[in-house]
Amino acid sequence: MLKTRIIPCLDVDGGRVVKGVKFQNLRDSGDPTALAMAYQLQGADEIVVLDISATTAKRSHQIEVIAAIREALSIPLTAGGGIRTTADVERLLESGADKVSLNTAAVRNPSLLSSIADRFGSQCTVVAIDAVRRGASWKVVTHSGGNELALDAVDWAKQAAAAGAGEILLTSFDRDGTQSGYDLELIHQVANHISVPVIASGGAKIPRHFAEAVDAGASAVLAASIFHDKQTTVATLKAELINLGLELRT
Amino acid sequence: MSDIAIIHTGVGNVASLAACFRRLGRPARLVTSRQQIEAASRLVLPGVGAFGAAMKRLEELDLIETLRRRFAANQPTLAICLGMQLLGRGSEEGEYCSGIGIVDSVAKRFDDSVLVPQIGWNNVKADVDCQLLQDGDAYFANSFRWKDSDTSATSKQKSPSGAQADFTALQNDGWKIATADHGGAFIAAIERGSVLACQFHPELSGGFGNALLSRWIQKGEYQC
Repeated sequence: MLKTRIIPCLDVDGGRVVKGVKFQNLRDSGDPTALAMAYQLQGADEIVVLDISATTAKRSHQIEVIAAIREALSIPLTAGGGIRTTADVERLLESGADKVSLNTAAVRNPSLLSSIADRFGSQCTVVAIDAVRRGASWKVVTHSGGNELALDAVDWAKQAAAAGAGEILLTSFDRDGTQSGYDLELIHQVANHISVPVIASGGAKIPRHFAEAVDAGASAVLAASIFHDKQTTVATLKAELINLGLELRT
Repeated sequence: MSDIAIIHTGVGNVASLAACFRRLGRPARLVTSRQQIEAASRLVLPGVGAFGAAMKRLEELDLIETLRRRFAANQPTLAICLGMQLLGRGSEEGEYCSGIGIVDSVAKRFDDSVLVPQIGWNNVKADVDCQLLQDGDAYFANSFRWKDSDTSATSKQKSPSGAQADFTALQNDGWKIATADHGGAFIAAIERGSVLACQFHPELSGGFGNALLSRWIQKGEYQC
């Protein structure tokens, strides 16, 4: 049986790890390779590196960041941020990413997903969906929440999986950075409608939050602030989650 | 010059694999030609995109017979993920496509009852007689696999009731096996002498994977 994955996420801007509240007020919290290695040592099951650089000049560090982490890391590495073409995907995979995470470009052009999945395989094609709650449903947002679309988040998840996405990285824009827990209804709705794994993201603070996300249907749980701010370690969290009955890699 | 050669057919991520061998202190070369592959004392056949495309590429490079001879001679060889499935009789990925045919198995898609692709860490249980493989958690990323009932059709006819019958057929062919479970038991890895084939990614499986690759390298050394 598959173990629930605990995935620390490194938001990288200009080669440095940052993490903000609701994607704003970014704070600098470290060197990507040093952090990734610390998390691997603590028992992280995978590392996600999202490049949130606003400019092309700053994003030029993305390839070197991935290559540096890969040289040291012996667990899976997912790269995201600013991927627009299959050539971008190829560069990241050649640099040492095992999977790539697409967001805006996939929304704009779902056929890009099929091209990537056909060429490199669904198992390395992750679609990141940022969702904002609107009444009883969720809309897709892009550009760090700056752009809300008419697109329903659950419908988009279904469409993305059908187009070749092998995983959905599902972030609640409402909960991200708030540490008030994952949006469980959102996870439940998406996981219920697709047969590929869902990675829950946005809002985790205490072990119960992670366990709830798994109950709601998440195959993996992603968090950033609580690890970067040293509120807990991956090892401590895993021990607590095993006590709550989850199956984890130790 | 390194004695470990990774077949690089173009598509497919070999960066993680190459980095892993560097960490183990045994940097590998990327090779494409038949001559380089015949000369390699330790060869790695990585996962490369879709089954049909990978077989086509191996045929274009005229490597199929070279690989068959290599396995028949028990030269140190490691096959990973799709690389393992290529050793089988064929795959139902896309239109049915024949494989290299070293192992009497056909790769089929996981059942709809489980999440597909299988992505993540799964527990591997190795038979007690395995020399390289051990129990532990390994990282998988696959939609197709060798299931017990999908291996040798002939042995299935011999013992239709036993779920282990087809795994037994592999064992009768001299393979020592390790299994994992995702909607039923499937082959996680097989080994025979210096040949090791893993459905999981040892290069992404942390300490478990590093230790396995070290044992495979050392096994080759005892033989040389």
